[in-house]
Amino acid sequence: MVSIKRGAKPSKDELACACCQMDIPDRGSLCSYCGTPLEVSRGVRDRGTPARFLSVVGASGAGKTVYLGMLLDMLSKGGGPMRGLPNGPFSLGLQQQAISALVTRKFPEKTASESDSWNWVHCQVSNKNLRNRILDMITPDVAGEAIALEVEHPDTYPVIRTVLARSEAILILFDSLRCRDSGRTEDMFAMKIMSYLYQLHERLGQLKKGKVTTPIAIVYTKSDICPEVRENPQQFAESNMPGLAQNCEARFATFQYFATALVGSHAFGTDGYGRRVQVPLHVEPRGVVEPLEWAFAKVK
Amino acid sequence: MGMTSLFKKAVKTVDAPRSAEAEESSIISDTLIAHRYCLMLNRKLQGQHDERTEAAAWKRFESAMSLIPSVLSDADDENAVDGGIYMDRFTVTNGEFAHFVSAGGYGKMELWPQAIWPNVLQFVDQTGYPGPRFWNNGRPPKGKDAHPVVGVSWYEARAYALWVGKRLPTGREWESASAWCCGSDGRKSNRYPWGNSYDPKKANTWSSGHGSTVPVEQYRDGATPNGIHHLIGNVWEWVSTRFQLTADHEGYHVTFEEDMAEIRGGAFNTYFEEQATCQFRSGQPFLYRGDNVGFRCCLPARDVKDPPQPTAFV
Repeated sequence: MVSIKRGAKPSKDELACACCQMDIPDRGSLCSYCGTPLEVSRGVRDRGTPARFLSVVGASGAGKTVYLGMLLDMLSKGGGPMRGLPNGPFSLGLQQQAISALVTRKFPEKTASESDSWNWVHCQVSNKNLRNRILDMITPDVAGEAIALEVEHPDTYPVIRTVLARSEAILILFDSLRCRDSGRTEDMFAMKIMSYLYQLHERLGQLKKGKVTTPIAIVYTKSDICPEVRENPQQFAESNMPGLAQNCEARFATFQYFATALVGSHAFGTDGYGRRVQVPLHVEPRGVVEPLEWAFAKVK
Repeated sequence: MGMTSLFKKAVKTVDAPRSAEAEESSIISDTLIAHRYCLMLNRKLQGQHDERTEAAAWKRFESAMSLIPSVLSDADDENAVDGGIYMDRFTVTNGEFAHFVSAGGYGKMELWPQAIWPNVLQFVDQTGYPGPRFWNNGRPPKGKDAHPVVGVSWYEARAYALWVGKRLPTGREWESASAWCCGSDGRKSNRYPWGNSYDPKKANTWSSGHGSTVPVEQYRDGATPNGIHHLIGNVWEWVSTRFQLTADHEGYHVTFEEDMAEIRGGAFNTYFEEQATCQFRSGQPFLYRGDNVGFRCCLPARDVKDPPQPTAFV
């Protein structure tokens, strides 16, 4: 297993993979060990500051792409205390994909399972209320199917494992409507991913007093169509995902529940293949930046 | 309430019955205070008033409403009118809506379609009193009398409009008021009331950074040339038109889980400027009572009585 060093400073002379820290030849497009795009590693080397990871994971259809795209757009607009500056044009790909879709009343295309087609984000994040703190946030937009496969069969996607191991905060997204309506299915997935994270940190020797110290934000998406979660996300978790709630209490030292929504109103459409798709009529982001703001404050 | 006003109130209750003239005068005064001046000026409504009363109503009317001389009409809209309309200069405020609530508007069943009578019982505030969703004990939140009323469904907006002798504008009427025709032929319309370029200093949307509603008299620079305010931003506005998308939106056949009414103008949390233009249409279910949807009213110009003789205004 690749050893992980958080916040390690990359060498100026050679290209170290920003994720797995292995020395790799500066040619090609992906790290041959973990699959991280070289563009990310080059970006980290050029900036000369330690790369600090923050991951956004979740089941398929939880809304990771649109959440991340919207989050980046809001950070770059700088409406609140949190600010974000993309590092390199590749960081804008995801943002552009999400925003161009939403503005035309569509959701972005589903992220492909193949890791070489994932969008990566490298963004300099700051909070105007915490002046001395700047975080180089790096995260891939991982396909939900890939996360599910990696959780079931560890090391199927080494890049996911490496990114999660290096992450200083993790945002886990759940579709609130599915959590409310699909009984225990979502809870089972949640328990699997929490167990996976626990074991990962246990193997790396990163537990403190038997608990994972990495801050975990549990983010319920699509709260615009699930009013129950908006009132009290923690109570919603305890009622609808008891396994997740117990796992968090027992194995994680720092966690918080959030509810987020992007859409103000929606209709449904049927595409050419007869599939039911949601049509976002207008965009009104609520609770998008808060999980990051919380994680930012918790990161040491 | 101070001792003097308590005393006056007590005296009032033991007063001898007032004369019919005094009673009528009181009703007229209450009507004007409750912003129901259109009841005295609407040709379609019964009731004759003397010229001085109508002049008082006209003064209120002129300060509160503005004429849109030319209105695009919807062929399929039963409310659509040829010719001009008078549009409220401001969205209806909490303070104005409080008159409707305290006058028992939620209990006047003639203001509500029979089909939704069971729902009217559920139009309550946070303490269970009839009223907008975010009020308490039948009163608006403190310090928010001048903010637009929100947490009202399309039906509550319609009931209020009827109560004050007006109606909700159609989507095209709303657009005619906001886009303010320009160009030599008067047909070209602006994207925003002030022009074609978005300016966060002229409307309360997400990029303005307030994150909530502001009093209706703020952002005066964003008004139309004839003085209609906040058409863009602050709150979406219910209009009378049913919301529809083209059957083939972006290659999809669009269906709605429940019927929607059109909303216009964007709100304090509308993220994309493209979705807060004079032309952009969106929708919400008729029973939706969100914190970012309010309304304003209008009256077709042809329904307004002629003003009284100038001497009546003296």
